[in-house]
Amino acid sequence: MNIGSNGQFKEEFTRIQNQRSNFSSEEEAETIDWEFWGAVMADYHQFARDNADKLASAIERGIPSSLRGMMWQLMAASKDPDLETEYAKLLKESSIHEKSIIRDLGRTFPHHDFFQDGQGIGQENLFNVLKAYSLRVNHPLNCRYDPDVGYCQGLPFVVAVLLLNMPDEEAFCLLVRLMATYGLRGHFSPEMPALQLRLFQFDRLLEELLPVLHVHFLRQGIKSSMYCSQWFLTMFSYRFPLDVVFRIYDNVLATGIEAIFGFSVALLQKNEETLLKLKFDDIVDFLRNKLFDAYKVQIEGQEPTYLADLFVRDAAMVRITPFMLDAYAHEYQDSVREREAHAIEMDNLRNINRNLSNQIKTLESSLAQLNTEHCDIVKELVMTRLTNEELEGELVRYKLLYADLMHQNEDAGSSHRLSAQPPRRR
Amino acid sequence: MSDAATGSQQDKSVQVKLVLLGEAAVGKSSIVLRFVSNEFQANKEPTIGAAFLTQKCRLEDRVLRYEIWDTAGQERFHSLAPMYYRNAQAAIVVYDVTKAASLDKAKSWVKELQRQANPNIVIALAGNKVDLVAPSSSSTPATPSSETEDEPDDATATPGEEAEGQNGGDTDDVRQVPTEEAQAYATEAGLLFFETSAKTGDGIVEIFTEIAKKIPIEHILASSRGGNAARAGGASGQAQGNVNLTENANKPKDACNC
Repeated sequence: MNIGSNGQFKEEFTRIQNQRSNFSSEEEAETIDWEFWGAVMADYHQFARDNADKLASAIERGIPSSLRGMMWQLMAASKDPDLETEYAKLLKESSIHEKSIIRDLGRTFPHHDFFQDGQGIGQENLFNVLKAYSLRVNHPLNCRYDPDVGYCQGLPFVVAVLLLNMPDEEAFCLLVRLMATYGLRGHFSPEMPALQLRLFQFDRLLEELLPVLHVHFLRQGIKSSMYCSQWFLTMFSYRFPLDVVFRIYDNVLATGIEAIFGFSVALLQKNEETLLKLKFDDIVDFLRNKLFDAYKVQIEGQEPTYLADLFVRDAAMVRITPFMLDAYAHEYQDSVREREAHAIEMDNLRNINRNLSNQIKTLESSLAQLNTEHCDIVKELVMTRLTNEELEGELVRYKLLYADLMHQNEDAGSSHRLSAQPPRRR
Repeated sequence: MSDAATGSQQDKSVQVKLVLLGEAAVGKSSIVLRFVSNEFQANKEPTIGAAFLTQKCRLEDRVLRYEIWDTAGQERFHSLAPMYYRNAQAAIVVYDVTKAASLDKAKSWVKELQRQANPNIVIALAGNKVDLVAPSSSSTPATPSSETEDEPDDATATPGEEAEGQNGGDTDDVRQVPTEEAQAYATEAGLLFFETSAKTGDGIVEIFTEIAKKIPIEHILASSRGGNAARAGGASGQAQGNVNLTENANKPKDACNC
């Protein structure tokens, strides 16, 4: 953390404080403990070291919305003037992902005032940050350690949440931090390896912490991939109430991406009784649309509000230890290795099978050839036999003829003798 | 033709797993939304991961229950797609009639399905967003019942696409894929083909109905009775034991020698 930028935050803090005290009467119930947050901002790292518990519980209670952007950056230590300069440079370049980014601008928080206007500052900033990030990871220098994230759907929702709390260049730096240090990158890189791991860990957590619901989901055929990829990809910012989303981001930035597990389990826990009564279709619908209703307060004629404090407390109560997550990660890696080994074996077997099939084919064709040859020979044989029989018949005929002739000959001989003898005897 | 009634009749229906595939922002989710709730939303959020919805479709004496997997279009999510088209009995591959490149992507999806998916899969090709282009004589006739929307703007295209015009090539509201070209491809590849508009509802119910007619229902009943016990409970309620031989005859002939 660089001292200059910290100073900048301090100035900003004083400015906001003054502003607030001028308008404080108009402010709703939000009473800010200026002294406490002032001390936090003055030297975040020192304060976090000395008063870790106090800070943690203050964050759990919610960071005041006017200080949120600054606090997020302090917690992530993302403020980086060099990176901001890089950002300014990247804005002048053009990215191959621009088309895809532009396509999604109007589709990110389409109902939020800040992002609704196609020509507005909201969409412009969103475009700038996303474009710069897509360029940054394509940059030859970064290729060595960063796989090609480029642009991925889901990212705009994260960036939009940041932009609602800070200027674009700071949002860019925080995004880089979230991707690199908080491990968000693996959710968006090709094949999404980290997301697959998260889904596995989540399944195991469910099995461990909410076994009844886990079995119910299993029986109904509900898989985590059916509903919670987006919870991880957008950190709940996809279609969930924003005041709750901010509180989720408070905790993620304070404690890490793993906080998402706590919120996910808490949501299911809160709705467990309802979910246990539902069948497949209704479960899917409920998980998509009604999950936050349990925390909703609807007063007639007013926009609904959400019990964010209660939700954050519930999530904090969920006992998820790093040890559990590590153990599940190992299980996952083992299963991946097994699957790979299995795939290799399948490949081998498939090859062997293919070879055998080919062999069968050649054998079959040579058999067919032999068959025709055999047929020909049989035919020839039959013909030969026929000729043979004919010849034999002929032979018999000739033999008879010969015998006849012999008889005739004999008869002729004897009569000749008879006729010749008497004169000799005389 | 589609029946919005949920729940009660589940036991009588045949479950058909259907997956939607296609390039990002061609209107996959909008097609599903139109079919399932008869609604249309401009500027719909992109699908992250995948979404699952169900809808019934009545066909003569049968009720089909579509279990629809609506997938994310971006290439990055491609690695997740096999998870969704595995065991699918039907697929709708969607392209955008105003984007020539989206048909190429659709073709590559069809190729992948024909190579990797269930060999009996029924594939339909849908050219969406026909409301953006001048009516073509060969496009599917409109269903008057579904015209409940009257949005002031008449563009289903996602905003910001005007900017693409500067890069040359893509411009909005101009047909880039002639009906004949897509029809010819579909015939050659053995696909059902429709031009649709999720915005007006044109061709949406038709595509699901035509798929329903082509699904080898007896085959599904027979196979779901065998394995797949976890969720096949509904299908086995129907006592139709005979296997349709004509459908089985469609199996690729090389199925037996390897």
